[in-house]
Amino acid sequence: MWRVIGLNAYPGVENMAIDEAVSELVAGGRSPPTIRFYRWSPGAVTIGCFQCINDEVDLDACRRLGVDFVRRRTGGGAVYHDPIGEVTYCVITPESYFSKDIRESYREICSYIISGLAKLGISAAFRPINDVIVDNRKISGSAQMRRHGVLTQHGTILYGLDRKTMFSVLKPSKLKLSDKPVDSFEAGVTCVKELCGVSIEQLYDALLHGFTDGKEWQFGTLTENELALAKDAAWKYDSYEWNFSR
Amino acid sequence: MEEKVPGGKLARLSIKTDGSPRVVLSGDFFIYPEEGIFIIEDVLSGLGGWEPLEEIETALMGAVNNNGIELVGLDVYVIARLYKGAMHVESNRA
Repeated sequence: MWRVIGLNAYPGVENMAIDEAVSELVAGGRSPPTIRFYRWSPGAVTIGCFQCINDEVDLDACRRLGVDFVRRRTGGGAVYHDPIGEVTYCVITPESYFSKDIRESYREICSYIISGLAKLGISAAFRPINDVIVDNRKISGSAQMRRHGVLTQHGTILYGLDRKTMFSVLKPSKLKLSDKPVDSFEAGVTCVKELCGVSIEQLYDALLHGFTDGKEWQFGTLTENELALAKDAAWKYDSYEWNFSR
Repeated sequence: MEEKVPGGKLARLSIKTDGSPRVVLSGDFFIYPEEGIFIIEDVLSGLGGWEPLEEIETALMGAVNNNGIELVGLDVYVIARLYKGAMHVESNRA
């Protein structure tokens, strides 16, 4: 039986700490397979665990705009998480629930996003390795890790786009455009609000169906154990040593 | 030095010279398990920089295979080229 934790907003450090805490307890069999939806308050930049923060993020712009920054424990690229412009998901489950092939498991989990967007009339497609696109423009990106037999994949679905803030705080290398059919980062992304006139609550509802259709599930909340473990993990995500480790 | 892996991710490699020279690999790729990056960096940090590209690739391939490391959006050929390039820059600087 899957547990679904409904949409709540937290600061970046807490969001990362909660995902880690739930993963650890799923690994120990003390928490059920979980699908968690969340938002970010305040807005935050997350960077992949292999990225150098100074290469990817304009830290002065973050401080000026009140945007948090935190290193994820998953790989992948830097992401700006707008406080009102996106829904984030996290799937935390025994590895055996998905393909052993990492690339294939990205496709499997991203199919939930595609299915959710289809409920809103948006025709999206998977773009390997870890993106979902609409008309060649990215609407969702994901990052996965596997540890102690547990698969943790989190990702974002863009609802509204504040391109000005996004590209003030992010410093993507132009090289990243070299194999994309667009000539600017601004043109390479899209969002639900640009494609149809639904509210973010309607997007969440569609995603909830996309992620849970065909599964046995029930709504749940974070347990005392998860909250305590998340509190312990938060110090790492808040530390200079972690965020500036490369 | 940076390179975009075709159909894959962006990788950067630099040589840190504060103290004993140390290779730092970074980028938006995926390495499973994540600790694999330290093994790759250690292999490169242990090289002299003069080795032919094929030898560097073989060393990296050995480390990846022997430690069950999986690279996604990144490959040993790109890492080896970045390392050669970074070492070239360093030797010109010296």
